[in-house]
Amino acid sequence: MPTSRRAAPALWSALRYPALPLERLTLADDETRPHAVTCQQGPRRLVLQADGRAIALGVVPGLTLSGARAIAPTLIAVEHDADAVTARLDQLAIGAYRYSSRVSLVPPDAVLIEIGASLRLFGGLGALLARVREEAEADRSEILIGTAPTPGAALLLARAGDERPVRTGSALGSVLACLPLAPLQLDERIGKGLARSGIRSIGQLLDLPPASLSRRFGHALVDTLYRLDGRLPDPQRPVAIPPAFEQAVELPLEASSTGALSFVLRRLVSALAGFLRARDLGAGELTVVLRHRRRVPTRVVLRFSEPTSDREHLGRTAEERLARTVLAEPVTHLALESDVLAAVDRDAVTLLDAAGPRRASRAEIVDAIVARFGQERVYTVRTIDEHRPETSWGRMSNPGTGTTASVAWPARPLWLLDRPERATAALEIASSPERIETGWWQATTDTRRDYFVARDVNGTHYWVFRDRADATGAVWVHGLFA
Amino acid sequence: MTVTALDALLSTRTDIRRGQAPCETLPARSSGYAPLDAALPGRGWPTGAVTELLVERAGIGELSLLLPLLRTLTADEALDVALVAPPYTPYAPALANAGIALERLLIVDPPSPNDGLWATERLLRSGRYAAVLLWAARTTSTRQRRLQLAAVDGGGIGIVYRAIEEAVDHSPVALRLALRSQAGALSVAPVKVRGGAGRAIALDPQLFDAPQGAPWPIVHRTARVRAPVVPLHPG
Repeated sequence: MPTSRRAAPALWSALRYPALPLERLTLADDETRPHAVTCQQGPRRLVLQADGRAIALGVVPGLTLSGARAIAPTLIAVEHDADAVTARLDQLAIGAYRYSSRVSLVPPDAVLIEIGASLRLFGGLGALLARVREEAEADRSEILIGTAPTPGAALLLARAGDERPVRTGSALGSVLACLPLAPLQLDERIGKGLARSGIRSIGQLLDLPPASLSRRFGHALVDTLYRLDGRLPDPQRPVAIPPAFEQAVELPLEASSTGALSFVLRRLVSALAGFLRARDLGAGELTVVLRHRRRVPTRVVLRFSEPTSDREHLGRTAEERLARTVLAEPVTHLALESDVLAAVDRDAVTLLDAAGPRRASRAEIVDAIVARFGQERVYTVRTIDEHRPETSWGRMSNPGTGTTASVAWPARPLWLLDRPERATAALEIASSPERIETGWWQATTDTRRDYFVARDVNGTHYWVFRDRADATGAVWVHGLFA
Repeated sequence: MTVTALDALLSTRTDIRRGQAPCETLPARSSGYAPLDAALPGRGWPTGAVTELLVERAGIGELSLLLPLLRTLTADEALDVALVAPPYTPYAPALANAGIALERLLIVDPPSPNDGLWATERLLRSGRYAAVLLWAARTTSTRQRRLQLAAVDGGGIGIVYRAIEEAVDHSPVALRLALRSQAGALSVAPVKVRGGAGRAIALDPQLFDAPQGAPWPIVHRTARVRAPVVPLHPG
C-alpha cells in the first residue's frame, strides 16, 4: 500500500458509552420485565439507570428503589458495580484498537481514539464512524461519538451528545462557542464562580481575556481552554496492551440460556479483535469458559483453520458453537482466552477490511460449519497408496491442505460402503476379477479378495468381492459406481 | 434496425416476455458431455442457480454426470467445491481417477437433513464455492427457494439430488432433470426448464464410466451370482 508523504492531520473521536452500568445486565431477547441498576446513597438505594421498559413505567433515575417497586412491581433491580464497569471500559479500550493504533482511556465512560491515520484504511470518515456505530450496536452498547481535531473537543462533543463530526480547526471555534459549560466538567468552585458572572457557554469563556481568567480562576482553566482548540498540546496516555488475552465477565443475572450469553461473548470477541489487531496477531484457537455456581466450568474450545483477527469470523464461529452448547447449569461468569496466537499477514487483513461489502473467506465458512457440526463432520479426502480398499483413502480435517497422490487406480467406485454388505440381489458380474491381497505377515488385516464390477437388473453397478478364504463363495458389496 | 440490434434491445427489457427466449441467455458451464450440453438451456449446468436432479436410484451414474464439471473447477481453475450429505463415503481413489483436485473438495456430513440445507445455503451464498452438491433427504419448496436465492447471491452452481418421487412437488429452482437408468444408458429428462424447453437424452454409460477407471462395459466374462434377494440399504 502506498504511504502518503505527509502524515494525515490528527482527528480524534471520543467514544462515549453512557449506559455501561445498565448494559452489564445480560438479558435474553425474550425478556419482558423492566430492569434497573441502583446505587446505594446513604441509607437509600436510588435508581441509577433504567431500561426502556422501566422508564416507560415511570422508573426514572433518582427514584428510590422502594418508590420504583411501587410503580413497577416486576422490576428487576441490580446494584451498581463500579469495578465491573471499569473492567468493561478497559475491554472497550482494547477493542478500540480495531479502529486505531492510538487509544486512550477517559474514565468513567469514554475511550479516545486518533482516527486521522485510519481514515484511508476504512474508506473515509463516514464509513469509519458507521462501522464503529454498527459494531457497538451488534454488541448492544449504546454509543455517542464526538469527533474533532483535538482530543479535548472530541470528548466535549461526545459529552454534549453532539455527534456531528468537526474536521478542521477553523470549524472548531464556532462549534465550541455554542456549547454549554457543563460538559467541560469544571471544578465545582470555578463552575459556580462562572455562573455568578453570567457565563453560560464556552464561547463566552473564550471571549474573556485569558489574563483575567487565570487571575480569577487559576491557570488550569486557561490551559483547559487552550487544549480544546489546540493552542496547547494535549498528550494522551496510550492504553497498554496486555501480553496475553484473558478477559472474564461476571454476569449480574445468571444466564440459563446461551441466547442471553451471545452478546456478552460478542463484546469479548470485539475486545479480542482489538487486541489481536494491536499486536498484529491472529488467533488459531479460542477457549470460551462458562463458570457455574456449583458445577465445574464448561470449557468450549474453538479451533480456526487459519489464524484470524477478524471480529466477524471469530464472533460468528464462537456464537455458532455456543448455540450448540448445552448448559448444565446457569452461567455466572463468561471468560474468553486465547493462547494459540500466530502472526497474520497484515496486508491480507487490510484488504479484507477495506474492500466494500465484506465477503467471507473460505476459512470463515468452513469454521462456521465446523462450529455447528463438529470437526469430524467436515473434511476433505485423500488417496493413500495402499492395496486394501478400506485403507487407500483418508480424511483430512483441514480443508485446503495436502495434495493428491498421483496414482492411477484400476476401476474404483465413487461410493464406498463403510462396511461391506452381503449381496442380497441377483447380480451379474461384468468384469474380470482384480485380486487384492495383503501380505500374510499383516496378520490383523489379512485380506485375500477378488473384486468385480457387477450390475443388478435395474442397471445399478456395484463393486463386489469374494473372499478367497471363504468356501461358501459369498458375494459382498463394497461400493457403488455412481 | 438490424435483427441483432433489436434482439439486444429486447433483451434489456425484463418486462417483455418472449415466447421463444433463446436458451443461451442463461449463464452456464459446460457439463463436459456434448449431448447433455446440447439439451440443456445455456448449454451446460446453470450458474447462479440451483439444478435439481431427481434420481431414480443410487448407482446409475448420477455423480459421474458431474465429474467433468468438478474436475474443471477444482483441477483446472483451482476453485472450491463441496459435497453435502453424500449418501455413502465419497471414495478418494475414484475421485482422483476422475482428475479431481481432492484438496479442493469439501465434504460435509451434517447431523440432520435441516443442517444439510443450512450448510448448503451457507456455502452457496458465500460465493467461495463454485459448485455445491447436496443430497437432500427432506426438503420443501420454501427451502429450495432459499437455496435458489443463495445461489443467485453467490453465483455458484447448486446441484440438489432428490428422489424421483418428488418430481411431482412444486419447486422454484431454475432447472429440474429426472435421471433414470434405461436399457443400460442413463436417461436425462427435463421436468422443468426455466426460460425454454429442454429435451430428453440418453447418455451412453461408456461416456461417463471412464472416469471411474472401469473399461466399460466388460462383457468378456459374464456369470450370474446367486444370492438371496433382500433389499440393499446404504451402509
